Amino acid sequence: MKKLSPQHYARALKVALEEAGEAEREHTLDRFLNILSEDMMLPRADEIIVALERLYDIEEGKVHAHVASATVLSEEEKQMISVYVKEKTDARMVVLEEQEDASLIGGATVRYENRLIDGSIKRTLEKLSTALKTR
Amino acid sequence: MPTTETKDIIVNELKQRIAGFSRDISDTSVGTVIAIGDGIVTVSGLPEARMSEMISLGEGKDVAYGVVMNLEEGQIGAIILGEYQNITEGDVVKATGRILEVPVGEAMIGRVVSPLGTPLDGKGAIPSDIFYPVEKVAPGVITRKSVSVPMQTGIKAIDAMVPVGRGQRELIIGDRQTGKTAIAIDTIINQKGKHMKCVYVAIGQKESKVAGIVAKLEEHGAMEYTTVVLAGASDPASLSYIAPYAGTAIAEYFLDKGEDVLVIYDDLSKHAVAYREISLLLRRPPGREAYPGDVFYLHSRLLERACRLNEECGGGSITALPIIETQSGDVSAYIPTNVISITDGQIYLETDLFHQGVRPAVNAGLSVSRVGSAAQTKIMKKVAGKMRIEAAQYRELAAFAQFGSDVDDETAKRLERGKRISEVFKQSQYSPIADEKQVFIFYALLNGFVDDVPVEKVHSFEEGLYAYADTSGADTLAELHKKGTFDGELEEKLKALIGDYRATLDYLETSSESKKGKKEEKT
Repeated sequence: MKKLSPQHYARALKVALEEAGEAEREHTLDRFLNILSEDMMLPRADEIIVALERLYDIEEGKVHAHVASATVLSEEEKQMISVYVKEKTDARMVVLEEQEDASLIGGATVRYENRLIDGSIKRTLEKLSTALKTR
Repeated sequence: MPTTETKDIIVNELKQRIAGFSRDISDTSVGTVIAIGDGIVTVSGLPEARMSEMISLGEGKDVAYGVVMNLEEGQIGAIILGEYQNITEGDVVKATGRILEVPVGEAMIGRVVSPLGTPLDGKGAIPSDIFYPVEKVAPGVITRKSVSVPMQTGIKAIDAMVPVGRGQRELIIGDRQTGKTAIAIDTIINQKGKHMKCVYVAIGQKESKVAGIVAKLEEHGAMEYTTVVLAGASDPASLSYIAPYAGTAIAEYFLDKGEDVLVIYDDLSKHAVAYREISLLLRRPPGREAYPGDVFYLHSRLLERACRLNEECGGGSITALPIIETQSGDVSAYIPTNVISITDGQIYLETDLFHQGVRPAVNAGLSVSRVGSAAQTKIMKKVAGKMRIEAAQYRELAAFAQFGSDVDDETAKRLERGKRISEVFKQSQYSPIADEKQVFIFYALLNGFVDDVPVEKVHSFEEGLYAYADTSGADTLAELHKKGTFDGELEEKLKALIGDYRATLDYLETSSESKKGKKEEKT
């Protein structure tokens, strides 16, 4: 039999949880853990959780955007980023994950889904250095 | 010392360039490294990546480049070209939108380069702004022409028995230490002044061996028209894998200019091994001898790029001399049979012959050229046409004659002739012989002028003949070179010249000379 991936387990669990009634949910989870242990998939539980979260995100139309900036962003700026990502992805909700990164020197980068918006001074300087090197 | 004036110019130019530099915000498609190792990277995301596209891994100074090999649901597999120590899990991966290219052009001549076109010989950067894709579809039927112009190797045994034409693919096959590379190098050396460019692709070779080869080529002035593409034994399999394609791309630049190019792949066994390594690491299912299912296509798409184009398409050619190393003479292994079936013939080298002192150790029976006499000059065709059959028959007869000493006259004569033929085919390394001189010795051989020369003297007879032709027969040589065909007059000149030369030798009886003359008249 082909080995199942964490994604397969996550999908199965999601369906099982939805089909089970409110009262049975805990029981379903217990049985799922038993199956994981039987299949020796417990060490990969982390990956299953990530996959499950992703499945729910897709269902709820939630998009995670990772924002790295040199300085702390204002609420207004965050709002603008959220709106931009929302427009681009047709998401119903955008979750911003912020991070400060001094190495960017200035500006910010936004990473969502499979895209990267780079408006940092670091990249501009890198681009300038290659432009000066090559004619 | 730059004067203030030139300084101003530099500053102004920089200012202009900075002014023209726009500070924009980029929005690119990216992926994430999820696993990296053994020269293979698995990337999640990057949905827009295409097959064979180049991807960049990491950022800033530590950036490495890869080539997409596998497209799967949600992830891609790629090979990494070069160093990747600083790339870690979670690093950003970007698609470049370009397929792998190498710089090409006249500047590549005389250089030793890596499969990515970076110089390895310490002679500075290679100024080239023309790039050719590493993988390219071979020229189609409409653009091609059949092989008709010879590509002289300068090796008597090959030029006589298995002639190679410009645009042909001739395999050099044999065990280790049988002189495969020696044939390739001699062939490159012999291309001097023949309007040929050469590309020597070393795949997984020891760098010391390649250094030796380059030194030899330089010594013979052959680096003036040769490019060496080196993927060393210590380089990752990905570089060995792309090396022959990169070498062909360099050759295709000259092909497009209508020139003739010779490409040597040394050797494709190691190339197949490198590809097997990549395939297994990419988890492609293994087949026979653990090679992946598309290992035939690996070599067929490479060798199909060797061609002879017709006049409308420039009339250039790429001649390919792939090399395959066999294990204890086993030509029926997987890779050798594949490459034998792809190429237009093979030169089979044998360990036994090599140890008997027959060098180059060409096996006359098993070596063939499917283009054959179409790739010989008319004159060569005439004097050397039957040479392969005679040499092959001699081998069989010699093996047979060992059992009994009593053989009939006809057989004895054949044996004697055969001994001399195989003696003439012996040739030392780095000493290619010009076509017209080969005609001299083959003519002498076929018309019985060597039959009474003792076998151990054949070599000195040959040397003497060349020297004599150089001094007394210079005009005949020139005529042979110019005409390329045989007519009665030329044949008489040749005959007279060889006769005169024989008269100068003290170990030949002059009486046999007159006898010989009579015999010739009768026939």
